Amino acid sequence: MSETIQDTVDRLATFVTQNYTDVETGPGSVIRELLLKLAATLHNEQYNLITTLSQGMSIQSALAGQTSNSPLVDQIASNYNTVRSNGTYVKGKIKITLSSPSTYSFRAGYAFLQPSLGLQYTLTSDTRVSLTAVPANGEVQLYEYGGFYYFILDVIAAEAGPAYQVSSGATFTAVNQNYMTSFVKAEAYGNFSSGIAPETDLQLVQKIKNNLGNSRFESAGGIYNNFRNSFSGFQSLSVCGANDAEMVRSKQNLLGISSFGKADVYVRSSVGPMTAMVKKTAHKVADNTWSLSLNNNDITGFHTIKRIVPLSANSLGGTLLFAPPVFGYSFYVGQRKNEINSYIDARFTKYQTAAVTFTYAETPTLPVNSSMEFEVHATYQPNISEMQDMLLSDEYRLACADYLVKAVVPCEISLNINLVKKRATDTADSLNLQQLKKDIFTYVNTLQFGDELHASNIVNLCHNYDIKRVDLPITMTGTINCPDGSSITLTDTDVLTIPTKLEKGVTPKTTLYFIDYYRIENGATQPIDNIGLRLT
Amino acid sequence: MAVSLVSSNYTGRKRDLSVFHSPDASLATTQSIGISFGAPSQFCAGVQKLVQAYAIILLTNLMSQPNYPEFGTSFLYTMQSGVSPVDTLAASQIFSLASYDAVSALRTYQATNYDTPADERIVRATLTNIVLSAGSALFEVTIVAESGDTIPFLVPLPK
Repeated sequence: MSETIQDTVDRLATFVTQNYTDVETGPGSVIRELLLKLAATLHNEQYNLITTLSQGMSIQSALAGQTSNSPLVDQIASNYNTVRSNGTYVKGKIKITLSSPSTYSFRAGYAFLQPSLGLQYTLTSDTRVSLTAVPANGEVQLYEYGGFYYFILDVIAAEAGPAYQVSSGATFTAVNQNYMTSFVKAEAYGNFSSGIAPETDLQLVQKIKNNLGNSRFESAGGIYNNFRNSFSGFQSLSVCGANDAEMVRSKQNLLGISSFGKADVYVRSSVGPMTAMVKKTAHKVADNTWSLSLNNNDITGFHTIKRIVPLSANSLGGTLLFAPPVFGYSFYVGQRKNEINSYIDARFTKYQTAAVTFTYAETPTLPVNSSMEFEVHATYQPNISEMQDMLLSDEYRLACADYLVKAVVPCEISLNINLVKKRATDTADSLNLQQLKKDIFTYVNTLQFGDELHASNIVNLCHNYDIKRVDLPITMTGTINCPDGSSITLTDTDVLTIPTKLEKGVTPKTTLYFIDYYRIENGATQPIDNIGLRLT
Repeated sequence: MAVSLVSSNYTGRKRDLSVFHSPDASLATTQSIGISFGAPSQFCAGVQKLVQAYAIILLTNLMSQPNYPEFGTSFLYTMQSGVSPVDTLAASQIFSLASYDAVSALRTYQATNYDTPADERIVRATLTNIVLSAGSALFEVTIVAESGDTIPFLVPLPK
């Protein structure tokens, strides 16, 4: 902390008085007026300069300030080869439906708004809608389906952060909607990608500490640092190794005793759940019955298949009815591999495969053994394969250890909250409940391993807004998609706790909470909020 | 009159450097006490130190010390701005206001420094005589210390 000139004079006077008890330093004394005051002028400048340059002081003052992105902390971090992450912008596709064929041109930055959440997205590049089947550069094709016309635009969130991740089917309005005279509706085409908020000063300082302490893979901290630095969006991990009850992979031998040297690394590499689509060829196995296989590299380590639709009808909502997938595993030819003993070991890893049988009455009817293209949509965690490859690479691997990277076991959450307003005139808009939804989204999706989901914390978030009270109880529901293919449903009004069910691979060290804005059932986004807020 | 016993025992006292050439108390002749360089340094304590501190504060112009603008009084600056040689009332008012500030500064310090000897603790300063003439002014002041000492002295004004 800097000193005033008077502080410096007093400090020097105290020093002289304590060391030379017979020297007068009071006001009007020659010692004070001719010596101490002059000396203090020099001391004060030097003292304050040193204080300002002090790194510790700089961090303290930066953290004590109101801003969470002080350039001073950035400069200090650069001394440790550490840079602040500016966050990741959510990206996605918006499908615009028109009542008549029209060719519109959009400038980059053309804005769309998700009205119930108040989230804004903008067009990433200049785009023109083309009526031709082979659009040129900067053009998108206009499709016709069911008497309507649609085209798809790439958009990016207005700000970096996780709150902008919306589900497939979420509706939008165009900010300048009058331009599209034949506009019918706009909706998210597939789930939007995950986003990350820019790192705060506290996070950056923590990153410096981590970088100083851990850079190798011997510890969970070291793995975390490497993943965090290498994979944008990486969130957290849990390592289950020797002597951990969760480590059952090492006990799958004749004697059933643990063979050391194995560790399972459960990772969360995105804030919210992400969805990917892959086109697959299915084979007709019987009347109205089709089957397809997902290879290990189709949607690596995916969580749950959400939707299967014929490729020719990709604008359809919903999904074909499919049976629970049969999971398996396969290795990559010519690559170093982990030790896998069962499909449960391989679940959510880069080795996971699945076979899915579903019902589809095609028109015209095709003979058995015919093949056809389908779209498969599944939720997943990004970079599972890359993380595993890093741990297996010559450069990084521990030769005596077998680290298996798994996407964290997901517990999908939905909430119903009843808010009581203070004034009859209050509305969801006036209370900014859109932001409350984002707060809850961020809270649930950033809970750490071992954390419980407390209704009281959600109530606390609600009370950051100008409401009278929150009606209790709050109904919280969680569905855990277990590695063995089964599911566990949790319901509570007070606290949701991840149970310990080792036989299913579910414990607080392997499982994390996920919440999406909208509920997806039978492959279609339902008009039901996962974060259900009712204002009465 | 010469003083036969001059003590230089400063035990229990804080010493300051004397900026005035103190008169040799053992001599009964006229001596210069003006400020000048080259003479051997001397310590001072007791009432002499008190008078010196009072004079330094009184004669330092406000804002004349960089970084310490509130130290001093407006006495010298106002006098140098010009006072009628016949207006002793104005001169005494100027002095009284400045003297009040100087005494206050010393008493504020004394209030928190309890170990100051009684003869170094100022009670008041009174203007006992004033002589104005063209180009010069003479202020005769009496300082009263808590010990009961009354110290008359002339404020050394520069020409």
